[in-house]
Amino acid sequence: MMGTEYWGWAGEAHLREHGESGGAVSGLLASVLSSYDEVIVIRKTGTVFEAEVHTLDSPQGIARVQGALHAVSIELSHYLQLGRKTAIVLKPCEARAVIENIKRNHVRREDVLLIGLNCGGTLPPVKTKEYLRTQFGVSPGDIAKEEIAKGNLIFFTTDGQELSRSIDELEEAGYGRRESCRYCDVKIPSMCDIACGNWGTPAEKHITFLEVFTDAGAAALEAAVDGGYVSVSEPGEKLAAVRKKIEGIMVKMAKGWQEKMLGPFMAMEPKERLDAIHAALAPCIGCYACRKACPVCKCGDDCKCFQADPDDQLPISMFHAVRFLHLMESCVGCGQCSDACPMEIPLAHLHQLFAKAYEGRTGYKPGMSCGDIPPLSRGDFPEGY
Amino acid sequence: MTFEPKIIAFLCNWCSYGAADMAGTSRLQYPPNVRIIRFMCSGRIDPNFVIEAFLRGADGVMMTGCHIGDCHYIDGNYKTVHRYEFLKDYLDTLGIGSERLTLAWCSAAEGAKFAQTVADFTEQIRRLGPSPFKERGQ
Amino acid sequence: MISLKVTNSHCPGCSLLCGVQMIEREGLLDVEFMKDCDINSGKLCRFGIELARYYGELQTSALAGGREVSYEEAVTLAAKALSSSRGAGVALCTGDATTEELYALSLFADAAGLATTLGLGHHMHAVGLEAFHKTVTHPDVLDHAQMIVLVDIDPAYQYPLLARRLMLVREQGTTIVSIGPEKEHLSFYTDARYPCHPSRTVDALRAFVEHAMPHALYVVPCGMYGDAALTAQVNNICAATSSRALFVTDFANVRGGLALGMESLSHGIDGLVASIEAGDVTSLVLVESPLFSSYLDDARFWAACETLDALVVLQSHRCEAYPPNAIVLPLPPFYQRKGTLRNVCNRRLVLSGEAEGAVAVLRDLGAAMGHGLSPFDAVAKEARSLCDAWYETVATFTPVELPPQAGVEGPCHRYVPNPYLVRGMPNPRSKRVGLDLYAVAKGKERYVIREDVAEDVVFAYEKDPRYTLPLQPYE
Repeated sequence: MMGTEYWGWAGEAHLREHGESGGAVSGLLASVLSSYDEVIVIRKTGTVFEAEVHTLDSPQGIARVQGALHAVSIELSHYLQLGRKTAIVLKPCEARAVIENIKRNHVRREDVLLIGLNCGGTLPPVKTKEYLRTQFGVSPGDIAKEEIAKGNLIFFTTDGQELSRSIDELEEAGYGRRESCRYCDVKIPSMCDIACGNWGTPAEKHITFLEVFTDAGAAALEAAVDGGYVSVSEPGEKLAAVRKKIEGIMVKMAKGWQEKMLGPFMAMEPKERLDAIHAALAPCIGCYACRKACPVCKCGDDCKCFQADPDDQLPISMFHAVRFLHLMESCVGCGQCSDACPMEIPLAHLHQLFAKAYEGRTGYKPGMSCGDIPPLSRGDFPEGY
Repeated sequence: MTFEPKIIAFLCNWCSYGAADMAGTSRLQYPPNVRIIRFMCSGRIDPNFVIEAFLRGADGVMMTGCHIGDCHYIDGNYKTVHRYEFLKDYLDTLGIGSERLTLAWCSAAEGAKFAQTVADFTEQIRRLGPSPFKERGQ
Repeated sequence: MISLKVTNSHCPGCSLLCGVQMIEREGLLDVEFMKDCDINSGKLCRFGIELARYYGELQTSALAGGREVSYEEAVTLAAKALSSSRGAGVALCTGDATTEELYALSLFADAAGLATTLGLGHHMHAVGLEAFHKTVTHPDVLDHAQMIVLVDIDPAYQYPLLARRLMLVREQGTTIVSIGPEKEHLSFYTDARYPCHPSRTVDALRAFVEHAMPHALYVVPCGMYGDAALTAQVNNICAATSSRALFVTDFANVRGGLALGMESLSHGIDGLVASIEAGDVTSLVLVESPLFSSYLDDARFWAACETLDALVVLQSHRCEAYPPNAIVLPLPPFYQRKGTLRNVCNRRLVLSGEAEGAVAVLRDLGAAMGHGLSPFDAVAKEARSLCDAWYETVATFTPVELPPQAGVEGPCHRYVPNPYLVRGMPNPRSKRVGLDLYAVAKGKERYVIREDVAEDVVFAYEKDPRYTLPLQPYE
């Protein structure tokens, strides 16, 4: 094959027309169906806010799962099982969680084909529905599609309207993307086998930008091209550069949000910060939903975060204190914990506070490469001792 | 009334506990603020123990063991170092402060060093004051 | 290919009916967060998170005389027992059933000559069905009230997703006030608290009505062991101030059953037990009513049940044990059923399973007794239209007389909410709470005494005073 970057589209005309940006992902899925035990995707089940996890078992099913869903943030990495050959379509946060799970032997790298999707962020469904209702008088069933493009959130209604607002404006007003998405700085999932997206492609031309990162990805793409499922060409040089530029802009925006959301905590005096963390955790009712939602928490019922009796009245419960410690080296910033917390505790911010502080000091970033050894697992000779 | 720190010290069975023993048999004085918990190896010190110690009211925590290269189990204390480094970042971010945690190597013959280390650390914690967890209504 | 089945469902833990997706994957069940659900935005309390465990404890086989029998045999035996029973009979459902199933139960009871009751006996007796009916008219009622009054309830303990809604509306400017025993988490979502002893809550309410705003919303817990006098007093306040009330229960679809007129008894479960002991009631049909494992005075209830001519139990969640004369007919778990539900805010919800559940079993039972039941779709249609029509009627509260109230002695601050009042809620990870608190909780009181609490300490759920702000003691 020519290089690591391509423009791609589905070989089959129907998939190309209805697929997101030319359906290259759909074509890839059609190609890998027969060589994997399981192919895991998300399927829309009603309005653009309703979806479920789905295993593809026939080429006919592919047409039903086409189309990006920005208002859905199901964490698919939970569905991988050890020992099963699986192809899975993932956002960067999910892919990073898979990498963390691979590091801890919950999944084997060679068993999974990670088809990554570029991601600018997802929307919280209930808040977004409320926004559409109050600002535009539009109900969920009226929305055909949504898109995030050029700094705007655009809703396309079934009767052809385009409802667009600047993401910045929305987010200042408390709407827009989920908070953890705003300061996520991994927009192109380079830890996957292939990353797919529409940055760096000519508009309206039904083309996906594909970047291949691994041999397995290259082999999968080659097989898809040979089988007629996907067609590829060299990407236009200028547009390929535009892709990098967009990524850069989005990462810069993310750093800005990180400063805004986590900066105040880091700027506090230690005692003040401890008090702020204590106060943030005070409403906790001990439901453990955060742990259930967390894609890197795979310890099972005998997890160390449960080692202390919850009836012990500790200033901060051991459950949280231990998770802060463990997630300092493994939190991928997916925000599922905040999504799951019934008492609206900003857990994602708290865990990212630790993870980003650690990353800032040591450069260790969870979920980027299977070869990175988690700090708490290290047993090598310590330098300087 | 001066503040009397509560220090929890995790000692390894071979070197640092031997050092404490030697301090005792040599009648070396060191502050009684320290409570000793013995492990077979400093590499057994789960970071959670340190966290729990602070949450249950310790003002300072000591992790001690054999010198690098002298570990009874060869490389157990390598892990101790990695965990200690990780814990320092954790304690700083949490707001307890990494100054309340220390790592010290004491061989079984270094009774005096052990006593001195405990004394120094106790003073350090005394200067730092009570753990920030305890400053409400106690 | 490998199977993965997703069923959109609602959690049966309480009357909020939080949205949840059940995931079945090669025989293993798990939950997924239904983030687009307007009730809970996908979030779940401890009960919801552990739903897979709850649904794993199934009554899989039919039982008769303490041994496993075939379903057909059990149906025949049950029909025979019911037909030949001497005195009056009662059909009871605490509320973990779809509206269609509840309607099927009421039709079956009509045909078989049984009285029907939903498991809220005391409360309905105190105020009549009308008060429950006339509570709310809009699913977003929490957003529209200017003032919300919590009456003897700590939502964070029993109904966390309700606590969340309160936190959110408070941010929008709603005033939230609490009357009743002081509870731990109330400070997170109340603007003012009027702490008082559980037995004096009614008096406090009476005093409060002078300050009460019109068009307020009262939130009252309304389980099997709740205070009927409280319910009646709230009803009276609503009548006086054009307010509304949310009677929150620990069972899923009581509200569906209210619409079907399922209260032909004039007393609650205590009264039912008394009737059985007196020999007036000799047959009992229990649908999804886990009274053998969750009724506080289960020894007395059990003993009464043993004297029945016919004890027929339709159950999906397995009870640890049943009286020897019980004929048990298994139901598919709640999430597998099809049908509609009404939550505490009157939201009309759909269960997306495929099983008819109790509708099918009651049809079989009825057929064995010589009376037929229409096919599911016909039953469903009638049930839904009855339910919808009932809920469309305009609400008014009429004042009622307060029933006599059983108070609890002693200073309030020694009490914690009885863990049996909520479903399996004491923390499963807790090593200490479980045994001693359960032992004490078996006494028949709404609050249980903790002897080891220091004077002048007010607490709700074992929060150590060393790490909380000291609260003002009250007598």
